[in-house]
Amino acid sequence: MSVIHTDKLTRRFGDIVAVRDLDLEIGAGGVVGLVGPNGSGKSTLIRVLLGLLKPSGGEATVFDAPISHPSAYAARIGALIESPAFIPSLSARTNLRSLARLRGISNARVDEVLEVVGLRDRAREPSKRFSLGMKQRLGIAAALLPDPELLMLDEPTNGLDPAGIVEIRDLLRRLGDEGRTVVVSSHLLSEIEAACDTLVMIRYGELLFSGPLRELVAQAGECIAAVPEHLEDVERLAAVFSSTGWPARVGDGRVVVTAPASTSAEVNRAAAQAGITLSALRPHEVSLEEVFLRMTGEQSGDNGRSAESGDGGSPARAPGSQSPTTAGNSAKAKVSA
Amino acid sequence: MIRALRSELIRLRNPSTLLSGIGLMVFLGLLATTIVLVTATSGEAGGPPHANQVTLAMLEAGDGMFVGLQNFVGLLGIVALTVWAIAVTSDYSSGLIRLLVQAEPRRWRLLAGKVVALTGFTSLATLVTTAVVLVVARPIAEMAGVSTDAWTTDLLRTVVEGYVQLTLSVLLWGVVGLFVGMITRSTGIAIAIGIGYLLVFEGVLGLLLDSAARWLPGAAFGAIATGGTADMALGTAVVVSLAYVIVAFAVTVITFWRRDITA
Repeated sequence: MSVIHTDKLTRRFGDIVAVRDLDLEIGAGGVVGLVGPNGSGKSTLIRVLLGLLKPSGGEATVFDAPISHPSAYAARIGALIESPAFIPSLSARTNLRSLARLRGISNARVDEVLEVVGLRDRAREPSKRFSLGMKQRLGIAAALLPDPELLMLDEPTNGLDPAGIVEIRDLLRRLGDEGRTVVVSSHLLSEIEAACDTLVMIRYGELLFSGPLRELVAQAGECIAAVPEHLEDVERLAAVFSSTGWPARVGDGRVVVTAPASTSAEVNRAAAQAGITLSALRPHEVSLEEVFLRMTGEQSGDNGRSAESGDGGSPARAPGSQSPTTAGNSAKAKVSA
Repeated sequence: MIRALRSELIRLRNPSTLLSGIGLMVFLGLLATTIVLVTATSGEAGGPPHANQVTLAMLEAGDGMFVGLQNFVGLLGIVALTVWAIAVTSDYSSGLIRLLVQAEPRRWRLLAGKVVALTGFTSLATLVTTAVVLVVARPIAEMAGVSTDAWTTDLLRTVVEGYVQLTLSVLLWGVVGLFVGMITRSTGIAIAIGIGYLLVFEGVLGLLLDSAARWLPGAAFGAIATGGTADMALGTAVVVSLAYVIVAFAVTVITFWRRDITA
């Protein structure tokens, strides 16, 4: 069953195209990570799906109801959009009760969600006394109020301390395991990697990838990390590999070569022929962050965004490397968590 | 709509809103009553410029205790305008509007709930103000040498009539606050525009244009509070105000319905 379905969904703000011809399908259950650089259109996409923004083009459905009629599915969705919003002078409990009244939810449920996010003991305090992390928990509690089948959380771990991040990650996993669909937008890629089964990656409002996380990492290709004996040889070593036809990038005193582990001997030989002794040569597991940086062009999305063309800078891809973006764009992207 | 109303009432129960809104109305009501009663001892005085001149005879009539409130209704109106405007703009400035519209996408219900809740709040504030003035006006009048003999004649009718007229007038100011608040989404700008128009611009227009007193909103709201003026009968004031209210509500609803929630 499709929970979210978009078909050429587009949203413009004047000349800026925030979401462009987005084809996406998210199935029921599991945790879906929504990632992209700043200004990539993540929040806009969530707002359009929630009925807060009207689309400029295309179509979309949530629980098979068109987004032009969000009242058909509003009761099944909980959302935290950007920073949590509450009346500062009212207590946490009163703020939630106000939202509960609007949704026709009992006070007992308010206490339940306060318990879930660990704010039961602070429920009587005005929310203005809360730290950013506590406000974030209160925002998540508000999203959980309707006992939602679909939870859309925009940067839910923003402002949380490490223990809080782990707690929220576990909560999201638990909710996903219960059969709910949890869509999480975050800049913390390590968190996405730890919490999500599947990933939707967008840049400049366009879909870069949509599918299982492991598939994305696999698409990035096998890599080998080569560590030169002398640190000053790192740049030269990268140049040697690149001239040989292996895409290479420098980082943390090593050169990461996109090549299968079976070519290790050739890599070692190329280094030796260039007069560089390697102190280590081992298979390198590509992290989501590396894939993300490669796919999104290793630059902030806030910079150089083109208005109409949407090509505010080509991804700085190493020569010869394969772009996993084609997988996302060539066909209708489907996420079945 | 009932859910939206109950939700809004919880937010309005905010002690700071209650105390500042009702407290300010009571204070201004007492101030207006005191000024009118004290300055009327010389025979003719009181009242804002270009409004009905308050005479001693008016103050000594059956509804004399409310003359101050009625002639300075604009002061209470400003409080209502401010409260109504803040009720709208604070949803945007705090970002709460995101949660509200997501929870209840039928936006007209949110707006209807807010209007009913604010109407209740304003009616309560006016009731408290009227009650306090009713209690305090007599000793002030006696100190100022104003006869209160006629004040007890048909007291119930006088109080009910005075309260209804006053509340209607203050509510109309509130609708202006709602309208300007929805258009501007900024508390400061909304209040400045509302007060600037009704107190300054309309006053200047009234000086330049004699007929302005017969159709401008501020004049109509004032005429309702006083039960009609020489320029505008009560019935005319109600019809003119109703026309403004319909237009204001229509623009407010359409704006809210069509607007993207970017807050």
